[in-house]
Amino acid sequence: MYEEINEPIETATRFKGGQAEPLAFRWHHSIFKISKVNLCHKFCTGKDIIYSYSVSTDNGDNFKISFNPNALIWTLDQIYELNHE
Amino acid sequence: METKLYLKKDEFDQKPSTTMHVDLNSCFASIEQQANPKLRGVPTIVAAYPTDGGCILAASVEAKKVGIKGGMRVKEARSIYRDVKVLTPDPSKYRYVHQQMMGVLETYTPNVEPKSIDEAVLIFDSGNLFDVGREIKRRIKSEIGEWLTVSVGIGPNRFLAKTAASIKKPDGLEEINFRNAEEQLNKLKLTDLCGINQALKLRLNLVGIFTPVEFLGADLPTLRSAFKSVNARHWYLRLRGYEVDDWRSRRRSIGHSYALPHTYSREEELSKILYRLCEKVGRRLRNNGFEASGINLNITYKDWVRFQQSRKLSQPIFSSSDIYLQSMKILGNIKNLKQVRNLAVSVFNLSKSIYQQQDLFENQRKKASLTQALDEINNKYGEFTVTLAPLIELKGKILDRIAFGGIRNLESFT
Repeated sequence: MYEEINEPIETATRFKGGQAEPLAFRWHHSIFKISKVNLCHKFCTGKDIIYSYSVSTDNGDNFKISFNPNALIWTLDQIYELNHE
Repeated sequence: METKLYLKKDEFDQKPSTTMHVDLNSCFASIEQQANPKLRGVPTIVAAYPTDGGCILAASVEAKKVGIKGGMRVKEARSIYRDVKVLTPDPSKYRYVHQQMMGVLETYTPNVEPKSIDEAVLIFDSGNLFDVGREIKRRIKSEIGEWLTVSVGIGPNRFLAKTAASIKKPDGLEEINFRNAEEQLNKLKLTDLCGINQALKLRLNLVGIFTPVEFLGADLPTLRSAFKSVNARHWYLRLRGYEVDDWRSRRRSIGHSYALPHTYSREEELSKILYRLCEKVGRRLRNNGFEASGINLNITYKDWVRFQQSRKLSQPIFSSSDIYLQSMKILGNIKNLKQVRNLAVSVFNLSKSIYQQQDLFENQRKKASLTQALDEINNKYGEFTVTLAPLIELKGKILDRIAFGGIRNLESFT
């Protein structure tokens, strides 16, 4: 259903009102423009707080990406895929 | 209180409805649909495992419409709807949405009681709760996620508010009060009432009660002959809007269980899984400031036969390694270990911990210092950063899960 990727990505981010909003990211030489953040949640890994974003892109793909503000690293965690496409 | 013993049906509590029950519809599945718009409008399930034997934890509204229910196996769901979308749980998402929902609810009253990951009760002094209910529904959509809906129930007590919330799913807003109780209860079956399972339904049937309205109309002697306990009086009052459920249970045990992805029968394999469970139990035990003087091991075999054994301990324990040693003593004594499908360990007889006291005996103090140091490392770098060498291969194997009805430890994951 979901493909695990777990690769670091370059991400253009807007920091506003105490929040980080991903706008676009580069993965494997392609740029994905984020059209909507569907759900943002956070969780702890040890003392690190990780911000996780479930996003849709301009071309209709859905991804889960995450931001570690301590390490300043963005990661592409998962590509959402439907079973029978 | 004696005067309430023989209340008639028309002696319903006539105070205004000041209790609200909020239930996030198809919680896990709806949150996954919120995260991934491609799943919206599609029968979707969240299951413990995506394999045929995986137990369904939540079904989306669309899945429920085609007949798929929580508790079924994935194989059964696929036989009902071949293209059902199967996901595994992502507990951090669900905990976060729960916390966001609680944040919204707490802006209306300080008396908010989370009942589970997807349910909360709000107690008000007065007010027009229909307006509050509508606003909560709107705010959850606008502030947390547009795909999320809640069913809101309003009533004079917790039970009737919860019952009202169950009348219309998804996205309901209903009230049960002294004016409409019969009309509203008439929409439900006995087993739709929270607390009435098949066994209790049969007991009620034996005294001539077949519907919730008949249950409401039954006198106390009839209920006593059905329940044969103080529960008769509780149901008598509960159905008439009097509050009998405003108590909070004291924690009596701490446990973890694990449904194995495939069956195991070798003690060596099971012992590794058991250690991980004991480490989780130990962490929660210490985080809550307890030590334990009892341990329980519960095993479900492939043929659904269960083994369970408890031991009372002469000395209280707090370290994960001691919990493991005690549970291994039980496991080691099992003759003819069969194929195991579920393993659970819990500790009981909880008492205030001596874990951080300074006046321990030398050996206890060393153990406390070591345990504290390991906890601090795991707090900083994540669970199971330090673990027994033979178990390194198991890192991540005991998956994070949310217990049904359990919200006590949500705070430890924020």
